[in-house]
Amino acid sequence: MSELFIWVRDILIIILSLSFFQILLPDSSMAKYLRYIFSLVILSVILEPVIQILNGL
Amino acid sequence: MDYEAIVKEQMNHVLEGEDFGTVTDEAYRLSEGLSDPFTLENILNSTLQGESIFNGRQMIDTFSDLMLYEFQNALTAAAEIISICIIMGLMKSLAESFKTKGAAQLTVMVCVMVIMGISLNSFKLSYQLVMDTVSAMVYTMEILLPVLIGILLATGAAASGTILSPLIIGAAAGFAVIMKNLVLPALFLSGALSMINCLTEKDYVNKLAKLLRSSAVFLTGLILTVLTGIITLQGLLTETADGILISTAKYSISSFIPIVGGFASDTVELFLRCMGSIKSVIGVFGILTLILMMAVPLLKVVLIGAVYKLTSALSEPVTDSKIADGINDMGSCMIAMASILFFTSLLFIIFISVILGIGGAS
Repeated sequence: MSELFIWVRDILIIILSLSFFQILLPDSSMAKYLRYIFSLVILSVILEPVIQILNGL
Repeated sequence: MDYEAIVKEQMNHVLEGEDFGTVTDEAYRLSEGLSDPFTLENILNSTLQGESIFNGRQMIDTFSDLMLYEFQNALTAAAEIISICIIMGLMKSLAESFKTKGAAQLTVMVCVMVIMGISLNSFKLSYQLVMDTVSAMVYTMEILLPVLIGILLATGAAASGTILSPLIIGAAAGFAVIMKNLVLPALFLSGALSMINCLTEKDYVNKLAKLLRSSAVFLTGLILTVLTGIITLQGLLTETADGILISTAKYSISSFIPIVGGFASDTVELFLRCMGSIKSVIGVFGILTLILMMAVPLLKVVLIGAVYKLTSALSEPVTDSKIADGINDMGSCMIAMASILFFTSLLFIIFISVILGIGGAS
């Protein structure tokens, strides 16, 4: 049960920090690619329990 | 010795060594004093004298006082959230005049985090309340069931007693474990995720929060249906078997024992009736305790959920629809929690009624 809470806390932290970085980013052509990479990072954090379950099997 | 004295004496023998005091204390704490008139002695006395056990006026007064108090508390949080939303609308339009997007986004983030703090705080309180109530209801079942099953065996329902006892105790304990470790945390996390989703302009975890919520509700419905079906069917089947057993016993006593057989059979009948009435009293006490334990927390949580929905409706003109949606989802999570609490108590009440129904027919 505590793993679930840690998971949601991780999601909160990663979304907070990444959206803060997004605000700091200068307006350049690379910004949208960086945003894409950020969303990949968030996806990997959301998928973390699935990866753990697969490793445990 | 009259009937009342016999029943009371038997009752004292039955309840010897059982921990009913803790159950009454717990019910008193959870229902904030509403359960005070419904002790075992009061129910037994009013049953024997044929009086009503409810005092309507007093109950309604206590109830409305409690609800008004809770409503005021919830409204304070709602007023805080709405005032932050209004400030947020103003600051956002001020920050947008800086020509950079960053300032406006940062304002939204900070304000949403404050709203998150306020709402998650009261959300956490109601989550704890629901967890406490589920634990208390399971504790009540653990105290009540051995007594009820014992009486069931004493009334001659041997098959029902031996088959239903492990089934019902296992079902109640297993259901509570699933509720406390899976369903309620999932609902809590769903509420938290729907608030986290408000932080950014893009949706990151919106669907995840909805998935958690709907799967929690689905799981509860599934378990509830399966358990109720099994227990009710099993109760019906074993009841028939026991009916045959008791009539055979009565018939063989009255016809095979010469001369005194008829009296002996009548005595057996009287004994069964006495035990039956004790079982009804304990069962009624159990059902009332469960209902009272559940009623006040349930109404509190529903009230807070409704206030959240109201807040979301009121804050929609001054903020983004996204934040209003987040608060609304949180309200839905609370109402889902309340309905799960209701269904848990419904399941336990069905268990007790099945046990009560078995003795009544024979």
